[in-house]
Amino acid sequence: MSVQSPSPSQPDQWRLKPAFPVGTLLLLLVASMLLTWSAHRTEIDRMLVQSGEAVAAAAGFQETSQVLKGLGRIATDLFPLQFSETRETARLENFDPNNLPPLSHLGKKEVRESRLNSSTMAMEETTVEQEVLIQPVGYLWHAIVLMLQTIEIALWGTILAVIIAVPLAILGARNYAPHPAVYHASRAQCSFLRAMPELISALFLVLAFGFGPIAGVLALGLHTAGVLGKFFADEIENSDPGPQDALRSTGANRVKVLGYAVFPQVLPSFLAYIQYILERNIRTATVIGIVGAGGIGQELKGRFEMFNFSHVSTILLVILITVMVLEYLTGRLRGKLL
Amino acid sequence: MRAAGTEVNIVVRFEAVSKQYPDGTRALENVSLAVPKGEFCVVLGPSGAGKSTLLRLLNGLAEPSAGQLYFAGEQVTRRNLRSVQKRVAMIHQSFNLVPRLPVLSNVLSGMLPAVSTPRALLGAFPAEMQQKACRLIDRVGLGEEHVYRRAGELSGGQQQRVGIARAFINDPLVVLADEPVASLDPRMSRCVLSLLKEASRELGATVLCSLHQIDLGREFADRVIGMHGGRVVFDGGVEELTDEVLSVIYDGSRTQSELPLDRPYGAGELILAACSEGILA
Repeated sequence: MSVQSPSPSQPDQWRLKPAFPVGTLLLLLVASMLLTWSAHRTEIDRMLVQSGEAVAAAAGFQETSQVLKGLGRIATDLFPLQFSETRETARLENFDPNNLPPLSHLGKKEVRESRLNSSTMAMEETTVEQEVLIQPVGYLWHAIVLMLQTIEIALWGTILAVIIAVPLAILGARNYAPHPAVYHASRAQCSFLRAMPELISALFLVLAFGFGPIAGVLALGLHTAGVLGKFFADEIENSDPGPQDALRSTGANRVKVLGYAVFPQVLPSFLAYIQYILERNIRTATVIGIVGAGGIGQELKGRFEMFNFSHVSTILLVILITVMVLEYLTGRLRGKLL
Repeated sequence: MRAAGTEVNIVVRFEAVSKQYPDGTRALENVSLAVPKGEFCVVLGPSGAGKSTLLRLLNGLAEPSAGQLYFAGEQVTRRNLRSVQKRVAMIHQSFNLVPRLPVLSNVLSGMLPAVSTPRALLGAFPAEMQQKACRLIDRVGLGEEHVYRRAGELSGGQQQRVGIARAFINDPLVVLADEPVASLDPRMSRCVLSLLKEASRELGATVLCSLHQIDLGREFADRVIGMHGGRVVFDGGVEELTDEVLSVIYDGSRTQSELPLDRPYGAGELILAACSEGILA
């Protein structure tokens, strides 16, 4: 039996496609023109020049560079890190010298005060000695407590997101939505929630609920509910239909099929998504504090605006270490869950 | 068991049933047959002959495009489908257990329609159901050590045993077995099929079992239904399953008129049509 060839011509005469067709080359040309135009608008050219200067200056080929100067100024302001906290005992409420807070001691501090002498009508400088409470890791501790509050904001934001996302996902899974209209409504709701950046919604929520964690929890929860709702719904849609058919064909209703054939199957991926969202919410919670939604971000912004850069660097250190520890822990957890 | 029509003992009756899938595939064409109570009925045929569709019509996994379907004398309609489903159990080719759930929950999931939704979701099955599940797990040859093992961790043969236990827990009138041993080795296949046959005999269930291994069909069937291209081309006892008949079933090599329709069948009194089209219409 002879194999029928679709082409009657000899193999030597077959038309092969060129490696670089004209269409592709034209497309590349247009794309690079657009990118060049856009690069100028986004100052990519200036960025390249200035970074080049900075590298040249650092290597000693050039006297100085604007970027390097800026970086140097920040670096000197950021260090040394501010760990300690010194407060006047006179200004502390309920201060009891016999019962000092842990890791603290009392000290003296000389403060120069200028005062108007009423008899001579001249300004006089005097040195006053104040009793102060010195806490060597006081500010570090304060930052850690704020970081904990940030983690709590993220945790509750995630819990809120899961509570909203699970029903949305069931209604937004094609195979379990009671009606196509409900399916589309649920999917639209998820995209709407996802489309609202939490920084923006936090701005408005701060106006509604005032400064503090409530705005943070709500902003994170609403945004990530949209993300989780989509992930969960896709996961339900893609779960193995075999066991679902098996239970459905015994006459079990949808809720029971969901509970027995779908949820046990999707649970590991649900947990993986939740864990990823929690990790992401902790990172985002530090940022949305900047608009006043509580946590360590709020402190960061305050210190930044007061030019307390050594405090800022302490906060940044706490954030950095927290995020790194978190990634390590969740990475180990992920392995155990599946 | 309520009965309508003439045959009291008929559990399943197909009358001129056709099934066309939305993509245009004609899976069944004008199939008529009747299965009496307690029979172990093997459906043989090549892939795509419509064996699975035949079984899936009975528990609502597929809906007939034309014709009527009777279960225990009642016509199966959308309205009473759920009550039919509660009396029909199915054993699947790929087991279709929930891999992450323990064996016990998988067996109990066959009883889901019998418990309220909140109880089901909490996994709070009545004690007597749990005992029944344990007895069935023991009956299919698994032990106490398997009760809380995840179904997905078991071997294929063990998984299909769990599938059998799940099928029998609701005292089904009919058990549909869709290529129950297709993914098992020959020894395990024989084991699982004899278990299925014994269990159905003990519990008085009728079995409709599709197979692609002819030797296994010969060994276990009370009656063989041969299908080719969506039609029933043979219906008779094992002893009538000659090479000629097999070539009709598997190659469709002979025309329908050549079929040995006039021969007496073992279960032949019940046949509505051996080769359906036009003969009994």
